[in-house]
Amino acid sequence: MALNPSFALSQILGIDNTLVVTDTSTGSDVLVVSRRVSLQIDTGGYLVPSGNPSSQYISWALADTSISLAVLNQDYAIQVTVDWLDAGGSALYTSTTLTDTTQYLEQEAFNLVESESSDPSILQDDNYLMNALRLRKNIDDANIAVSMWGNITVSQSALNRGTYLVQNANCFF
Amino acid sequence: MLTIPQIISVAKLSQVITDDKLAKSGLFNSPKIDPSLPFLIYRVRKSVEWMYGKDPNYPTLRQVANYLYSICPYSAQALAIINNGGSPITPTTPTIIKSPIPIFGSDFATATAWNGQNSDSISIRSTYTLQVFWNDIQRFLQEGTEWNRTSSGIEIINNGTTITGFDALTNPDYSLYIYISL
Repeated sequence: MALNPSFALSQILGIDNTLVVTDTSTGSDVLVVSRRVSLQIDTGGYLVPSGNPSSQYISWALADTSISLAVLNQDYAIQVTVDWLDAGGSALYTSTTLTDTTQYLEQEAFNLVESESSDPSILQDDNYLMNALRLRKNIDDANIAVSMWGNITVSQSALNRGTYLVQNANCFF
Repeated sequence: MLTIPQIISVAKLSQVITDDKLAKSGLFNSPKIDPSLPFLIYRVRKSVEWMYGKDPNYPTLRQVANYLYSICPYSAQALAIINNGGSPITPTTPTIIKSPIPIFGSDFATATAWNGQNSDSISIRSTYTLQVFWNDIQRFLQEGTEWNRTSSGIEIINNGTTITGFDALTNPDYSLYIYISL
């Protein structure tokens, strides 16, 4: 019976730098002996863990249903590709998806709301509210760019704008 | 106390209602509404939704959800819409009634009674209004003097003046048209 390749992506709350890839394939193929993952970003480069032997591929043992990739120093729009390999290293099956990670930005957005709930007076500061809305808009723009338009560059631009706000939070919030 | 999903639903409706009130406030000189309020509701609601999807038991989520509820104006109206909303309706294919339908003497049950038998398989409901055109004499028949409505069709009246000797059993080729209106 042939393999019907598929995978799912997720992030764990509190571990913003990690992307979890889970194999959700159905069927089987005895010729498949290993897997590999590649995470391509808008510049054409690839995200790999530090010390990874390859600059493009991350090996994923067949025995592991999921793999945690600690590669995110910020939020990224990523073309994720998983190859199911034979003994010779050739890809027998491939599955690809375009996604964006937003946990860094979403966590900051929640932190802001959390602070507001304790002290709503901050909302009197027009700059604060405008920048908080900008953060939300950047998150939404990034999501829509990949989910509706498949545009990795536009998505990454929005994530970068949001990241700038977050990394300079003392100026904007 | 509302559940967090309920608060999220209220926030969605409250945002829309506030937007609508905002749009109309300038026209009708209504009490002024903060134009940033729908945006505030939106961004707080999105954060609550995100965290609820990640961890419904996050320690401060209830506090933040309550805050979201507190900034939602028209929450009573939103709750009324949520609680009184109906369920989706599956549209049914409408029944189109052909009119007129041809009937013949052979469709009559007795010499003068027609009980709805027709080749178009139209069910003649008692609520339908009928008109009878007798093709053989090229005119509509007068209800009450030449025919009467029955629960399932019509009864021809042999009144001895305008209609005499009507007998569908011996005249299966009689041709009539029944006009149907609701």
